[in-house]
Amino acid sequence: MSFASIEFLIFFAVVLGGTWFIEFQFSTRVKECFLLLASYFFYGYWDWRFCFLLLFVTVSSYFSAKHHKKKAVFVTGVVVPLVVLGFFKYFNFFLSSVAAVIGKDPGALRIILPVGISFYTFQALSYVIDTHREKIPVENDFVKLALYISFFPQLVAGPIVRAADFLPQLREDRKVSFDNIKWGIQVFTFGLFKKIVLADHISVFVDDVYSKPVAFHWTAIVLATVSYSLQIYFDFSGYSDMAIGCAKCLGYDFNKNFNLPYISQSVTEFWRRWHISLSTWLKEYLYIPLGGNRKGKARQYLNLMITMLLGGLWHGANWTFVFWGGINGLALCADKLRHDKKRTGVLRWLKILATFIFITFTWIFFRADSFSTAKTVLKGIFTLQDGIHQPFVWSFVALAFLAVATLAAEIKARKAKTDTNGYYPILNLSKVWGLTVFFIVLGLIVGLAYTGENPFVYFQF
Amino acid sequence: MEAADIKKLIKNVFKGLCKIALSGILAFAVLTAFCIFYYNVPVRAENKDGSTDYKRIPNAFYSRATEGFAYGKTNNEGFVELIDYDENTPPIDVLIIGSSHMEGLEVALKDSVTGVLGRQKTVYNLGTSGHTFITCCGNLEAAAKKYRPKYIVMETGDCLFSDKTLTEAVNGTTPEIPAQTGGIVGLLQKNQYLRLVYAQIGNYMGNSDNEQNGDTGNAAPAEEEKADERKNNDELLSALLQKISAIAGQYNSKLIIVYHPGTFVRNDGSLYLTGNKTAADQFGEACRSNGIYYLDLSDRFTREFKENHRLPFGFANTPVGLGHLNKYGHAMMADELYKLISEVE
Repeated sequence: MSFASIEFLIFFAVVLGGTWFIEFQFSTRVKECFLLLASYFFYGYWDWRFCFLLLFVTVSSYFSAKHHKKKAVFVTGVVVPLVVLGFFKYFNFFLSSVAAVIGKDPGALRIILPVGISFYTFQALSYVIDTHREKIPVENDFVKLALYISFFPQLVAGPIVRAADFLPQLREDRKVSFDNIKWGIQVFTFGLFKKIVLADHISVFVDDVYSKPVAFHWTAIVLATVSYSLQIYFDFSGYSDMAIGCAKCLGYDFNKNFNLPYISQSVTEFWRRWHISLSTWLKEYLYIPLGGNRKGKARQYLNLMITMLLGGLWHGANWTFVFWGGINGLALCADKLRHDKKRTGVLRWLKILATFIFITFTWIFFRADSFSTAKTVLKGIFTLQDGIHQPFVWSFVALAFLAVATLAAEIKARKAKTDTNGYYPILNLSKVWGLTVFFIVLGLIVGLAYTGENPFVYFQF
Repeated sequence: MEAADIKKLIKNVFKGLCKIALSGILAFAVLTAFCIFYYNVPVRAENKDGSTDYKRIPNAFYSRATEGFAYGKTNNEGFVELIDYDENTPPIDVLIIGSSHMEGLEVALKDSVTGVLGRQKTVYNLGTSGHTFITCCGNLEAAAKKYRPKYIVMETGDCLFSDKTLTEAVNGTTPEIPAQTGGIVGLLQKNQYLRLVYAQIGNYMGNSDNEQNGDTGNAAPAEEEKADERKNNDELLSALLQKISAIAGQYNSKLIIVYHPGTFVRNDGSLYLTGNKTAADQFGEACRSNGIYYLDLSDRFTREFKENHRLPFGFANTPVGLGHLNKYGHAMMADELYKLISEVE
């Protein structure tokens, strides 16, 4: 069930109404059970069999955290989610990679990749590790833990919510409120606009070019590559906004997952602003345990590379993702070597442009389904290939939208004398003008939405 | 709850509902104004003379940004046409009848077949959305009788017809496309935003029979088919072509049928022409043997792609090579038509 579907809107209306009703009539425990059942229904709607996998990961985390002081139990708690992830996501990949090395074809298992497995296994891991580190108390209430791992707004494509951020909220017994709904519904709508109006339209062009790059003029390939930068941002940040909005309507807060990443002055800054929940997770549970910057420069670079290579692999079982992680890792190392400072004025914009160009270049390997496609794309660009021209209009619309939103965020930040912190155009829905603008946005979403099939990019991860 | 509280609550709820209603009306007005320029296709009005099953509302402003970007005004008869038709209209050299491809709501009038060919000849365009070749066969007599052109150009993107369709066309019992001016549907159609929503719902439900998607737009093949060897029923096809040839002859018009296959760019970068080649060849042969000029644009499309990387279909806001004829497609068709007419003359 995708957020951008009629089924989800019906499902969410029922869950929101049900939660509100239960809060009035029943205990918190009933509400938690209701949300847990709703979350499993949400997950099972795609394929009910994988609810058992989700339950298995949850049970394993529950018991290993309870007995985390026993090293073997703790290790089991870490290994189980990793094995689950490894088997479902990477088994065939490693099999084929080994086969390529030894020159034999051992065949492949028919394994269906469960939606969201990369996200909920990471959440389970964060809980087990944090309890072991005694950063958070052990959660004795199984329902609460199960709800944390399976809570439907973040279940299939993040953001990766850490137990330290979410479990305390469950203990607080938050309520559905009119103010939360007003805020949440606007953030959800903003995300929906980004996804089904901007990202989905752009994907038509990007898919065209990346499925047959040899047919296109180099300018069309460049535009498609830039368009992919916009598509993946609007797609994923749109999904995150919808998740944040849904959770808020139900009374829960998720941290922001994006903070205007394309105004970064360096790759390091980009990774502080892009998919923040994953970057934070990798930093806390991989980079720092590896030694971080505490064991000398050489080791720091090695740790960065390991983190980014694994981060790349997390995105998908393909060497192109590993390569993508690798070049980002190298760029992070280069940033550390240069110790470049943040600039202002023209220099700032030049640095932003340079970072955007670099990040866009790296997306080629992320988007291409193979090195061969990536090579064809690069060849097309650098040989100034002749072919079909396609000045795709939706790409320019999206670029203009991004520019306006960024400008609005900058102005807001300057007024508040703070750094930018994402941007949500929250209206006052108590006023007629606020409601009018909100209805216009809703009307535009209905009228401009791309109506073909187009799943969220991050569903595949 | 005390009475005063209840009164306050009722007052607040009423106030809230009023705000929602007022905001809804304002938003609807803004969205409608937006759609005047974004998606504004004139309503289908009745065409009493029968030259088409329906026509547009006369002298109506139209715009379309959902597929290509074009705007204009229908002429005094309700067709997407540069010239008005009245007693001062010079004798028509070329009368074009066909589907939405010919109607050309997606391209500027000056770039359509009518616009391009109109620089050399007096052209009048009856192209109307949904008017397939078979529908046009039913309208041919009325069109020829009214406009008395030297040439009648009938356009088709499909050459393979079922026996039932051919039989209906021969017998003159092809179902008509209704006008939409009456009833609730007609009323709703007058609001362009509601029309856009209707089209969106149609697209979402997978119903391609609406004007946004293009009722006869060139669609991507699900997969590249093997050569389709199916043919038309020889007898029925011949009977239909004999019939329309005789109608054209009766009004001293020469009949030209233009076939434009769909296009699709393969992953290796080459151009794939969709449609049934066997049926198209059979259709062309049958046209010629019945005294009808037949123009197949397959070679022109292929050559234009090889030499200039130009595709006849698709726009800067739609998938590459799919949808309706774009300005290049219109220009290719106009050019080939001009060559053929010059040869004939």
